[in-house]
Amino acid sequence: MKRPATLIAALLLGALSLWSQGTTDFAERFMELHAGSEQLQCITVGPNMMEKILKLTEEQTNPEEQQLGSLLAQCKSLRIVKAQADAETWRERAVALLEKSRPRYRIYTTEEVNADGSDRLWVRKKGRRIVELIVMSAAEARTFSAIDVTGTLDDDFVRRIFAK
Amino acid sequence: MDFKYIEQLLSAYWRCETTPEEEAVLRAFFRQADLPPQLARYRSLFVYEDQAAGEHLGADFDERMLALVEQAKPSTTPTPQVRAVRRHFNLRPFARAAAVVAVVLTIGNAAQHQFGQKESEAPDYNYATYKDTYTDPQVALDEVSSAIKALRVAAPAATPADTALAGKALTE
Repeated sequence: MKRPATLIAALLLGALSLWSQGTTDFAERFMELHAGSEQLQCITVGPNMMEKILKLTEEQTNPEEQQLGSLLAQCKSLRIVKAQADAETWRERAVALLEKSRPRYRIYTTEEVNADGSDRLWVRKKGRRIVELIVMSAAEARTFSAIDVTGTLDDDFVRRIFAK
Repeated sequence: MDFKYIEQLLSAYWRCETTPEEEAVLRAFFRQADLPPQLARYRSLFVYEDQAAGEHLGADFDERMLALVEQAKPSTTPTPQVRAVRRHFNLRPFARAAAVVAVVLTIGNAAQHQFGQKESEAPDYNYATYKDTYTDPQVALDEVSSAIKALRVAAPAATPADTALAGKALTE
């Protein structure tokens, strides 16, 4: 009787410790940091919903939607942080947090995308893979928005996502 | 009666100077039934040998000894021993559980390092904590679609001039 109980306790502890090992993305950290603000709004599309969305895009006949589906296939989650007022302040705060989180996050710049190395495009890399992509609204924008995508991404994904 | 000689012998006896013959005289003297009061108190000292010689083992001595020996023999049935038992919190199952967890984590980490760059390049986010804003996939798809479109429109371009334009587009 004792052995199964011990085994179950061990498995639960193991699962708990593995579960708690995950890290948080930029959007979550930013929202935690400004939890008291009523201006900020965060929309979350988690992995489960992302799978449902993918199924929907598979049923679509529209090529644009199908292309979107092929892009989303590489994404695990997507978060959109928005603020309708004080766009410049929120943008500065977001950039400050990203700067503070270096080298976890770094500015993404290639010849094709963000060639001037502006602070609107940030990535988090693991090895050669991009695991998180953050795109912020321009400094001149009236509203602040930051899109935070996680998944197994690469340069091609970024190129495709910005392909006009 | 003059007991001066006996008193002299006694004095020598106390000084341990008497010969065996003189001590035999003293024993013979004290065996008498009538002794003067001043010497009677020493009687027991000199007649103890005679008294001891009269002492013998009783007829039941052997039986008593055998009974004692039987009593001293160890019993064939084990005697229950009473021990004080201290109640304490048993940590053994928890130690085992901790050991199993440690082993699982160690093997997991080792496997992660061993098998493949792919694993180490995978996202390490705690997706279990992600709470979807929308319950309807179509609404979520619309939101994602418009976000991606906004990204495309507002894409940081190859030149600073394009970037400024993109910013304008996002604003719209």
